[in-house]
Amino acid sequence: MRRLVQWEGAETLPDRDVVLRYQGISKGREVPERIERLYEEGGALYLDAARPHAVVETIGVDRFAKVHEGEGRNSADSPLARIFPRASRLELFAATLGNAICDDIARRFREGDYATAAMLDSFASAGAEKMAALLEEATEGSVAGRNGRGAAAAVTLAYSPGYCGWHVSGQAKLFAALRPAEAGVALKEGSFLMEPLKSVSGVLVTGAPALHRFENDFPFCSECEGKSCLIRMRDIERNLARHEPPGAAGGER
Amino acid sequence: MNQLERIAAALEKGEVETVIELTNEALGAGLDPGRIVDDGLIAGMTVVGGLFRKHEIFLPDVLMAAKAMNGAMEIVKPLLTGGGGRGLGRVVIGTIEGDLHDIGKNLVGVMLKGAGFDVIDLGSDVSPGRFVDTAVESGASVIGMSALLTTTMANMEKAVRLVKERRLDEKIRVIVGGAPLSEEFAARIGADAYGFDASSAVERVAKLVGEATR
Ligand code: B1M
Repeated sequence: MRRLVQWEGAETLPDRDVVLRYQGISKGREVPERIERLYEEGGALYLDAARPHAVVETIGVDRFAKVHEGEGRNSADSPLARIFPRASRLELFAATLGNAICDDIARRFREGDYATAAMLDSFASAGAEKMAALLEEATEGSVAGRNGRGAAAAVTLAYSPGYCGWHVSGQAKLFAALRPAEAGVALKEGSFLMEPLKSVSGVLVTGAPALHRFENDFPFCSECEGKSCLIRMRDIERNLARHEPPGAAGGER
Repeated sequence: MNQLERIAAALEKGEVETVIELTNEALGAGLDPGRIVDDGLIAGMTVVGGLFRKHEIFLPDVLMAAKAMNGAMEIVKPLLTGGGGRGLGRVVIGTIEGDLHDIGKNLVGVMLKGAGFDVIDLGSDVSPGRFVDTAVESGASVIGMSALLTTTMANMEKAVRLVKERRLDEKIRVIVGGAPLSEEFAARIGADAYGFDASSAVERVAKLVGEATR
């Protein structure tokens, strides 16, 4: 099954903490008035210029195994390689905020409007990530048709080429399989990166909450600065703790 | 506070209009344009850089100050001896071929301009040949390359090799930077310097400009 998704800019407006983190301002720090004004301006410009849309297509485990293989440059072992064969649903996706916002950022940098350009850039980076989160929520919701993320039998998480042992060159096979041109996303020739710039791609993996648990002790983990896997796993735990009796979800550590 | 100190103080607060106004006033009063740049604009920007490094101000503060600096430079530049530039040096920057991540490169460019360098920004996905050709054509003494992808770091080495093959390494120095890079990587590919962040990039470029012979 293939679907095109289109959002209102406001639906993809990222969380304040995430935008400010991209600006180097950590949670809890007092934000001066002049930066507040810049933040407001960045938000308004984001709503003006963001044209968020995505294409999502279901793919079988065997076919995905070929896509995942990519150009043969993945790490020998990785979380996704262990996870996807046991997923209940796999969907390829590519999502973009469109060209207008990227052009706006570039123009502002060129014209010397640096602070606004950088703030809008932070909104757009965080907005691109938010689209992946919205796709996760939508699939999870449609699979389980229930109340609240992680609460039910199924959790959907996005995994992307360039992360956690899935080599970024995996983009080539992903794009060949998904053909997301109709959503306005394409791989730049001779590159594994997408145009427009503010785009994300990957696979949405749906399965039991425990499916997504792993120890982050793969060889590449020591070089990873983001450690977003820990936050994702913590969120699953928290939701489970809220919604399920203790001991209901067995892990695989 | 004298006129130059007022310029520096306004710049530290990122007050674009005030900086421009004060710069015009200073020029009107007959102050030497070179002194306005050195003791007003660059002095202010140096304070801003220091505060940022100590985490006392935020990135947007630096960017607002850089905007003010650029606004004033537009006015002062044509009046400097030799017309076009401040003589601090010309730098060609860009994100290396195959890579589109440009946030870090943009910040480095802004900081370099803020410090008074003449910056030619080639954008992203820039081939090694284009870096070198542009540096030669524009008379730049430094090439600054940024990469955020492990897959594209190898293209930086090609650019360094090209500089050496064309025997330009005395005239053109190369600095590299980006999240996955390190001092060791820069040394391994034969680059002249590695920039950990935008502030260190400015310091290193200043040193490289001094080293390069034209
Ligand atoms: C010349 O001298 C110098 C000197 C100093 C220099 C210098 C040059 N250049 C930089 N510096 C230094 O000074 C700067 C200022 O202090 C610093 O610059 P930085 O650029 O490091 O820092 C910036 C100020 C802030 N940092 C950044 O802007 C990059 C942050 C991270 C999280 C990041 C972001 C924000 C984004 N991304 Co992307 N992204 C990541 C990044 C992870 C990371 N830890 O770096 C990285 C780079 N991304 C990655 C990937 C894989 C991708 N991203 C993608 C998407 C995105 C977003 C859209 C969400 C967003 C925006 C990107 C953009 N440029 O607009 C995708 C590609 C997008 C595309 N168009 O094709 C996608 C392919 C994922 C996907 N499949 O969807 C990874 C690359 C992995 C690899 N194998 O190389 C990645 C390392 C994340 C990870 N896995 O941890 C210093 O490094």
